[in-house]
Amino acid sequence: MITQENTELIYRNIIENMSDGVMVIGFNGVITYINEAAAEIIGMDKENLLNTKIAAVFFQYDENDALTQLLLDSVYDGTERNSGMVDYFDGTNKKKLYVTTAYLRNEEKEQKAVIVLLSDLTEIKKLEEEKDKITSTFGRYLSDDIVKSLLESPDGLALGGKKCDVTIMMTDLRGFTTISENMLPVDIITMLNNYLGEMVNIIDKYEGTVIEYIGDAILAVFGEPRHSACPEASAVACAIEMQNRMNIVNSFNRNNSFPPLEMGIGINSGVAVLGNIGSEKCTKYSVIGKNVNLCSRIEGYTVGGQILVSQSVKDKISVPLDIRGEVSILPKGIKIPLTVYDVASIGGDYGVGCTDDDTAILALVNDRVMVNLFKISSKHVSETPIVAKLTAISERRAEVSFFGTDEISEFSDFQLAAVSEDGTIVFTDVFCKSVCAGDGKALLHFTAVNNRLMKFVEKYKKM
Amino acid sequence: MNIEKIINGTELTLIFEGRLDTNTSKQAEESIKDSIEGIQNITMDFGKLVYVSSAGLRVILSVQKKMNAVGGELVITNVNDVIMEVFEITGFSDMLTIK
Repeated sequence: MITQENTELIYRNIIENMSDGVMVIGFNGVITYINEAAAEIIGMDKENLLNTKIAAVFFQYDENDALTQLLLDSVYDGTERNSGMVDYFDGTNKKKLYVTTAYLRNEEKEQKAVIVLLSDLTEIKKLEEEKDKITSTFGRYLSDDIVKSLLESPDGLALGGKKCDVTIMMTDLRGFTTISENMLPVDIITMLNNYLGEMVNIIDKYEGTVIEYIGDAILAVFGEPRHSACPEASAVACAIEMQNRMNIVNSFNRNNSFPPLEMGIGINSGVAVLGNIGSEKCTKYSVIGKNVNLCSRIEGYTVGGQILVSQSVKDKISVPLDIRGEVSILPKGIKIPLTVYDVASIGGDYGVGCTDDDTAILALVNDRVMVNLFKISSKHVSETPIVAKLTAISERRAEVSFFGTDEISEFSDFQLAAVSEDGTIVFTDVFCKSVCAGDGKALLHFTAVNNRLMKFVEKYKKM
Repeated sequence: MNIEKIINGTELTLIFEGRLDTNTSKQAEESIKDSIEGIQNITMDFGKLVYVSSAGLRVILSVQKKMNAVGGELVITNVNDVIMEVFEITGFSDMLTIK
């Protein structure tokens, strides 16, 4: 039972055993009372602090100015309490303290004292800093939206995904493997990081979320987890801006003596599963489903600078779309041919169009130059070439005509070697994709070039 | 903050006007450092000083140390009531010579 007699005992016990520090500074700046916790926080023995002047304890280091200022503030402010988070340095360790000071002044102004409360928040502050560091590191490996949805929703980290309607974008750098073969690893990374940095900024601008990088390819989704009014239109506008940005990317490459890059983009929309795939020990945030696979197939048909979108994407866009062409494709696993659309610009509020003209003027090749086309299937180069005559050429494309009934199919990949009439090798190790074929002719779009080819092109451009 | 300096042989008088806070303390330190050569005694007149911060207290303490080292003295004069209370609660009133 609490009585008048034992009240003081009880309160004294409470203060003696508190985990927070309590100090009373009396007349002439002398510590007249201090509990165990305060002594521990200050980093000195209780016996050495009692009846010591605070000037000797706290005024040695300028790190403690904020703390001593709180003492002064309690005098200047009179009856108000003053609190704040301050640094404390005891000569060896630095701590973060939450300090409250209150000035006690009786009516006759004879007895004055300052009550000081101290809480050691060093550990909590450290944990906060670590948490911030982890979140920001996390944010470097996954986009912010994914981090947010993983950490902030109650089942964010649970395995499993949700089925949703999304727009999927896949980008790929044409012939990257070949291009990077002769580069130093540090240069490949520099070139790739610059390119990816530029592209990710644009994807973010259009409210897309990067799911992952697959080598030099980017897989991004629009519509989830960030919502947009028309994810299909956002994705298309984004793709166009990304293609336009390749000028800046290649400018960087030129300045660093890196080779030029070309990118193809495929866009598809439909149902997919978005979420945490894998096991507790190894989890990946991903998007899966047949619509993701289809997007990848569509992208496979693109040449550098091209954006191909599926019917489902075109149908959902109500603003004007400038379509350069339609292509009928029959990807692996699909039974009936699909139409995909080569998009050049998008109107309405998006208002962005491709600035790069894909079809550079081809210079005629009057000399007799033969091109050997070695077909590439499933990354395997055929040993037997189809031979054709080179009729026209530019930095990006070549026109060939075939002999007899020879022909090639569209959207096939080839490795090229060209030989002049006298048997001299004109260029080799050039890669291309056939974009148009028929009537004994074909138009080839280069996917990997080299200096020898460029010198050859220069010669005919000057003629 | 203004500091008026009066030098009389080895006596330096500093008349402070305004606030001696974190920013102006640096200014004060520099100003005193410039004039301290050959000085034996310093008088700080706080008649027009309205506020001293903890940084200010440290500057005062360091000046006193310097004077003690040359066998001289720091005297503080015309301290107002509030600043006097600050000196008392921090124990500076015992450490400084206040007139």
